[in-house]
Amino acid sequence: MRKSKTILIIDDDPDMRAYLRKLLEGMGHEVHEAQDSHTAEKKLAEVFPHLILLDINLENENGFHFISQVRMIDPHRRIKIIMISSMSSKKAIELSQKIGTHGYLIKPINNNILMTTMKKIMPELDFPEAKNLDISFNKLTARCSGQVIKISEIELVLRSKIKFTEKMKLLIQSQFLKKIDIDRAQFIIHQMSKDVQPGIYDTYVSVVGLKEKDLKGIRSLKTKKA
Amino acid sequence: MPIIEVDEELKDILPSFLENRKKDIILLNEAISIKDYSSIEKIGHRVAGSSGGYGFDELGKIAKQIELECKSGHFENVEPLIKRFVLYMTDIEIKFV
Repeated sequence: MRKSKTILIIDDDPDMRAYLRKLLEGMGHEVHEAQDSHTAEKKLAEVFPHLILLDINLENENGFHFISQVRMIDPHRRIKIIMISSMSSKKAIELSQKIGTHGYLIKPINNNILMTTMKKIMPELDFPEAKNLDISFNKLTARCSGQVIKISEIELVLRSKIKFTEKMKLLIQSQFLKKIDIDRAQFIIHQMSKDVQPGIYDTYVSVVGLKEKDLKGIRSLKTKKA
Repeated sequence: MPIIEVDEELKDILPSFLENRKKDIILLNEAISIKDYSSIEKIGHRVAGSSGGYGFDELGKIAKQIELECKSGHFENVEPLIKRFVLYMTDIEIKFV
């Protein structure tokens, strides 16, 4: 079980977000923030958190409504959700349970309450690992975010949170690659991912199928000497 | 002058918390002058939620009271509470523990 988890805080109060971030980072977690459901939706496209701390009373909207959006992205309910509210009414807590959230924190929240809650939910936060995929899954696709940190005419290095252990074809959607006109190339992993830091990996990807004229974009990139 | 004990861990985010309360005081005074109790209730709700975590329990209680009085329509009780809010914020000493 990895100790560090990715957590998304959705709360319209910047002081509450700063406070929760401080405590959760202190526990070693990676924290992302959103002040409303619109920003949270964008965040969910970038990161797939293990846990969402969701305020019920967001500015001009009800946090409960956002849960259905999370379930659309995550139908198998791998993302756990803890509601945060100053409402201590039985009705709100029961509604939260009925919707299928994984906890309910009543404001004000202090360090001890948060720590106890996190300790309790930690075993539930691990995502299942995909191992020994059956042949019937040979068309399985997965989506992740990453960053192209190096590029040459034949190879690029992709930095991401995914550790690739097999040679496989990648479909990379990138404004940068589009701009230098090589988004039509084929991208094939040719070397297993290397650890950069815990949870971050560099993957070496061959750039295949480009004609001489297509390489102008790469060659035109300015390089900086160290 | 009451001494507020704040967790040492929160030292770098406390200035922002205090700055936001100064802004709240301006907003509360503006809102009470035009009897905008809806805005006052929202500020009360927000401050009540975060103050306790930072160690400002008393402020959280005042803010909660502001929220509840607005919600229940007892508007005559709101202005004295705002004065308590302002007084509290201008008369505290912070001690990191």
